[in-house]
Amino acid sequence: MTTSYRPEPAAGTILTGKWKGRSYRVLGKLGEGANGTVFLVSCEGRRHALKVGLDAADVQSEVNALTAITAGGGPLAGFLVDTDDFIWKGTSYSFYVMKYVEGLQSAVFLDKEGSEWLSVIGLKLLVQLTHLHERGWVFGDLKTENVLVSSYGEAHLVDFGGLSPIGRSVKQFTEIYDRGYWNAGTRTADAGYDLFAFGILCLRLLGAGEECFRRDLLPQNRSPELLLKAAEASASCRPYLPCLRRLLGGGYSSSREACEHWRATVYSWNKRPVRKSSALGKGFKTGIAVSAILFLSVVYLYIRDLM
Amino acid sequence: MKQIILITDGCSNVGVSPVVAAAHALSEGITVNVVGVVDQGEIGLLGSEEIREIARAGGGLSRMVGSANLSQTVQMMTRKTVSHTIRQVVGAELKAIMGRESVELTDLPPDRRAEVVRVIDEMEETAALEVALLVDASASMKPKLMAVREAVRDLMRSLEARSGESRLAVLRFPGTSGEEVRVEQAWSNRLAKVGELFYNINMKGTTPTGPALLRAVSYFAEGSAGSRLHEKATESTDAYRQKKDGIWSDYVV
Repeated sequence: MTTSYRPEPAAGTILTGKWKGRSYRVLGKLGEGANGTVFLVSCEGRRHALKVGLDAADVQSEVNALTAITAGGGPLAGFLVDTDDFIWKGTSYSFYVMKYVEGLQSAVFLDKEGSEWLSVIGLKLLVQLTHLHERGWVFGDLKTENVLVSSYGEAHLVDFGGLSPIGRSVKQFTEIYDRGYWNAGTRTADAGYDLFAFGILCLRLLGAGEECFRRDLLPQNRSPELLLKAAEASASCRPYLPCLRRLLGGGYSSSREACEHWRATVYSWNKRPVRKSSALGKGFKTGIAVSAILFLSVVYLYIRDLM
Repeated sequence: MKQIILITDGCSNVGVSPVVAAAHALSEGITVNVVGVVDQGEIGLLGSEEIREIARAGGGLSRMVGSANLSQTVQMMTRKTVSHTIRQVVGAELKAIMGRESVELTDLPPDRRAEVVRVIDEMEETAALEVALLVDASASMKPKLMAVREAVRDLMRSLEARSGESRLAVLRFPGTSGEEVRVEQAWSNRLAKVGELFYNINMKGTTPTGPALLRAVSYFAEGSAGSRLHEKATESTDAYRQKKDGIWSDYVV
């Protein structure tokens, strides 16, 4: 392809946009994908993530989508910082600059902090998906690697290469998260596409159904029923089962509905504790319950604010 | 837009050279992509060289993959070829508008570029598309045919999701009784019974890749999806042949 050569500016290199003239100092490489490389850069004392694409049309297509979803406020307002080209060894490369998200990949975060954090992370993701869907877009390539989590379960979507207008074909996806791969529906972008991938993301984060995600699973055996069976067999999935059933079975009419259901399910744990056996004293239990109620009300207020 | 995706695991051994046949295809406005399926590295130097050459002559891509990655590869090739075709057409237009020998997208200021790419995206999604999968069904391919079936199913899923009219045909070579090609699935925008593809594999069959390619080319004409589409495809190959040294023309990888 025309620009298949991957520019590798070393730390300390200054990249200057040829149209708008803003300069970015490269601090290091954050990651590398099929269609580009993301660098950590600084500009006027602030840190950003800068994505250099291998193909100008692909970069512009992503920028167009990001412009559409960040217009008019919302949780992603201010995400897209700049877009320009720089010249590297005589060739122009398109890039765009976005907010730098510091955090751990969702799977790493949950490993470290415990899977109960999924209740918060999941809700925050559903809120963001609702925002995208209500603006006419789906995220497309939802997977554990594309969700970064910072302190206290703050979840961020990264890599917007899969953003697709609702009603069009999904631009980029990963097989095991793909509704089509599981014979559970089309590859046409709709809210249900992201919600299905979100269901798989939950399974992955809860460590359920490992055997379903092996490459040697026969194509004719791939089905949402198989996934649900795996979820039902997993103790860590049990609290989320009502949601998982509808996420994987296409049982929501909108992401807002999924979001409400997730919230209702998480709050219902108060009334019907999932794990009953405990050797702890009654006073201690009451204390935990009280603090849990307080915590959840704070989460509720926060989320309500966010919506 | 018309594409042939040839799926094979070795060298042709009868009839016209597949490289010549691929050049014919390209001159008819049909891009030829080739996937070499290698599970135990049995394809050999000769086979892999032929695969590259066919794709080069056919203006398409070539890849060597294990059968586990076949679906993904076929899908990626189809998508890339669609983008490439559209970008050539748009690139040629841009050159005409800007009156320059060579126009890169990065020569356009950001706001104009945004507009051009919006048009490109729209065309990629809505332009009519026909893909013929041409499958080598000689004896050595037998263990890989399940993966091929899945790739057919998977490609159909992606085509169904497009807004533009999309049709798929599946041909295999050699046929059952002496014929070079057998149509396994006629032009269709919906796949009926994937499980029934590729029965009765001819165990002592030859590998007539070249003749099969030529037959696939004529199969496009038989099932043509209308003249407007044909005009568009011809236009884009003209652009390709005339402006080989310009924008996006160094596509074959």
